[in-house]
Amino acid sequence: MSYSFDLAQTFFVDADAVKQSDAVFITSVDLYFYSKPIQGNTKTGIASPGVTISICPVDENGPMLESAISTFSSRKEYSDILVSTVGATPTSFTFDQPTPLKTNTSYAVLIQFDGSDDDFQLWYNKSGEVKLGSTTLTQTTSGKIDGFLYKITNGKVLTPERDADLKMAVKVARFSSTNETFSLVNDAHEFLTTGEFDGTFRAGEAVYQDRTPGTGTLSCNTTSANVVGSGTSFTSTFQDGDTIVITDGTALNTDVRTIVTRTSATAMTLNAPLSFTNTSASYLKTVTGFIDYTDAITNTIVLYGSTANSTVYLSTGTTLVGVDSQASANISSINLFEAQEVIPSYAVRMPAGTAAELSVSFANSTYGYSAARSTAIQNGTRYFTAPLGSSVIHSRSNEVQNPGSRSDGKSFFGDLTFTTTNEYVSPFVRQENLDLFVNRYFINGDSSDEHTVNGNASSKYISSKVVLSANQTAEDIRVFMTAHRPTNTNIEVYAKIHNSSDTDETFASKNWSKMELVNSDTTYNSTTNIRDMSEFEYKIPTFPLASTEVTSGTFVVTNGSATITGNYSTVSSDIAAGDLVKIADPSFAENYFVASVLSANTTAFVIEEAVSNASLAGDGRVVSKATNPNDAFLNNQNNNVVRYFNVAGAYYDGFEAMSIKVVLLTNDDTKIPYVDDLRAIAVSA
Amino acid sequence: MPTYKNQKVIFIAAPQKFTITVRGLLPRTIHYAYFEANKIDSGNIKPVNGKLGDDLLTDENGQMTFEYYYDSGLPASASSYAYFQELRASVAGTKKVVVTNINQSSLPTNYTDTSLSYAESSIGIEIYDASSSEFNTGFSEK
Repeated sequence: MSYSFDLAQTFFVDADAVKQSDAVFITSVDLYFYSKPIQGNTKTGIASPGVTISICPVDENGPMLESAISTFSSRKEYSDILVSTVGATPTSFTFDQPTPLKTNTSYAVLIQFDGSDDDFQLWYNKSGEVKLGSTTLTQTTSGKIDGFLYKITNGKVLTPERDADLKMAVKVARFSSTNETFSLVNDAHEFLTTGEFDGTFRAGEAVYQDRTPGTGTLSCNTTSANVVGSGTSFTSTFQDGDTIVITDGTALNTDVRTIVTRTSATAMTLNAPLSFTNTSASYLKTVTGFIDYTDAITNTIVLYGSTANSTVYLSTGTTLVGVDSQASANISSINLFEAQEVIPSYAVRMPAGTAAELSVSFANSTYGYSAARSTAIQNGTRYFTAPLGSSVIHSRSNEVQNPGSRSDGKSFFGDLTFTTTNEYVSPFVRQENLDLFVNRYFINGDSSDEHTVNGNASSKYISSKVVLSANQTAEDIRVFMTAHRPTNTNIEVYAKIHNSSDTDETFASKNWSKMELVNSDTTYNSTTNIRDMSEFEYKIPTFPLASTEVTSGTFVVTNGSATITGNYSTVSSDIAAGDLVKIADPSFAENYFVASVLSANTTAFVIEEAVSNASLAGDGRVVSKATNPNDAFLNNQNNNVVRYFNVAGAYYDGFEAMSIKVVLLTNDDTKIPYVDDLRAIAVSA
Repeated sequence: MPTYKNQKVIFIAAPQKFTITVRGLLPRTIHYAYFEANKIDSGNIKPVNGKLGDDLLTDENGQMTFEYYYDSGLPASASSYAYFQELRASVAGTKKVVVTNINQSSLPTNYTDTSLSYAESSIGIEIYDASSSEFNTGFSEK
């Protein structure tokens, strides 16, 4: 926050005064003004300067101005600042929301005069001076911890006035109830699919549904909030509090305003003057809102702050128009948002002796409501998950037409209950921190073709290409991750590697090789605690994971020969040139080798080089064939250095460029895996 | 020799609107807003109750409120990771906003001394949801 203050007064929050509460809530601060500038004739040129106060913590150097609690400030305009030549009249700076402070801690009240006008003067107590209205000398030590007054120059430089204190009163809240329940509902969103956008909407801009203008015209200008109609029926057409769209048809001359009062059929007062002047402007009684999100690819628009009600609501076939962008889009469908996961992030603070509980309920797709679910507040923890369709947020335009059992039609309602055992303290949360994240998962359980650049998985992460340092050919990859993997979910990891000598393929065109999970495949995390995570490690497999064993027969391997002979007569039906095969001794799991096939006939196939290991020779050998012959594998015939065959059939050992792909999968609407952190290491074998 | 690379996710700021109120400025004076020391284009500024592109004019009490349409410039259809990298300047986070009477394309470093009237503060630029689904739309190979 920017800070520029003129005075600071520290004070100590004494727990002894509030029944040993851990915290108190400041509701207001009273200051006593001796004088203020002359309105319209100030030395700063500001006609009617006001005063703003804030609160900040204190350290050994005094008030920490840069830590002023920006959200807790209070302002008085000129006319509300009361002066007294006898110091008897307080000006009370009331905070919009009680300001929570820790007890047994010092804080400072920061005071900012508009323009730093020193014609603002406050009553203060200076040690050694005569007390007002008496002959007694004053003192400034009155409590267990002294406060200090600071003058602040250039908005930031503190100069202590250690023998002086402002006259002020800091008031704290005292709660009359031991429990209180607050009801929360969803904001008025519209989830829309539209036709192609005409123009580009701007995030946050006001939009309105285009409609036939109302009967008559109106006269408006830029200086008055009063508009005068001609041939209008304001009284019967609108209600106080309605929004109205006024336009003269000229680009950018369209405003959204709120009707404060309707004086007559031809006169009403708006919340602000118009941005243009016109004596025969048109007006619309229509739905307005603000752009929350747009996607011109999927023709999606999400609005917040929709003003739809039971008589005026969005409908398909109508057009949305942006007030500032003048972009437009035709509404083709009005949708709902399916909640699959709810995470309250209420930032509720619960000092000792307090507690908070949340109870929520959602509408379903047919405008009924689920049973309320309750739990103690645990900020940031997943609250519940729900199958698709069972918990939804409807568009406001559909809510108002289908209110169901609730008169307001809201899709979500929650009760937040605070309890306390100390009258000076309560759980607290600022309204703007009452966030409830309703998530929908974009994930599926299909990892088909993920070895290519066009896999079927919906949810995946692809790292950037990493090029190793010169002469640093790596021989293996290990991937480590801290992840949450509940049952019915999975996390697959793929590596893309490229050897710089491989000129047949570019890095971009290389396929992905699926990596092997080193951990037990039965390691699964809690389905209820989203923070339950495990360490997972992945490596390049010794043979591609996607493979099939040839079951038609066995094979004979001869040391020194590249020909592998089958004991049956349809070998070429199983094996073909270009295949990647694993030839193994079924009696010894580690006795195998992997090779690429150069050719095959009905009785035998030929690999790219002669067998040079006597222990592999013999009959009864079993052959497996990789589904994707270009997958990388750790070559047990070469110290487990990673090898891959490219599309031209050439093999390469080691790599200088790599990338990692993490594929998130689930077969359950209510469970998802996620990765908290990811580390990939290219290593020597 | 093992080589280690730690991948990091970059959080690109979402387009968003800020409503900014400034007090204590020189009354009845045109001011200019700067985002990270670059003057904000008038096409992205709208005085409250005014029109897009109108001057930022303080009232008689040196106050004004305006709306700032922030956009990182990243098109929703961006599919090139390299292009994405070029936009790292749009990383979300806390950004400095200055309002001053100085009218230049970029904010002079000594603006606190040379401005007749200025105010400064910071705003938090929020992000796209950096979930895999967003990356899948924008930055994966699909």
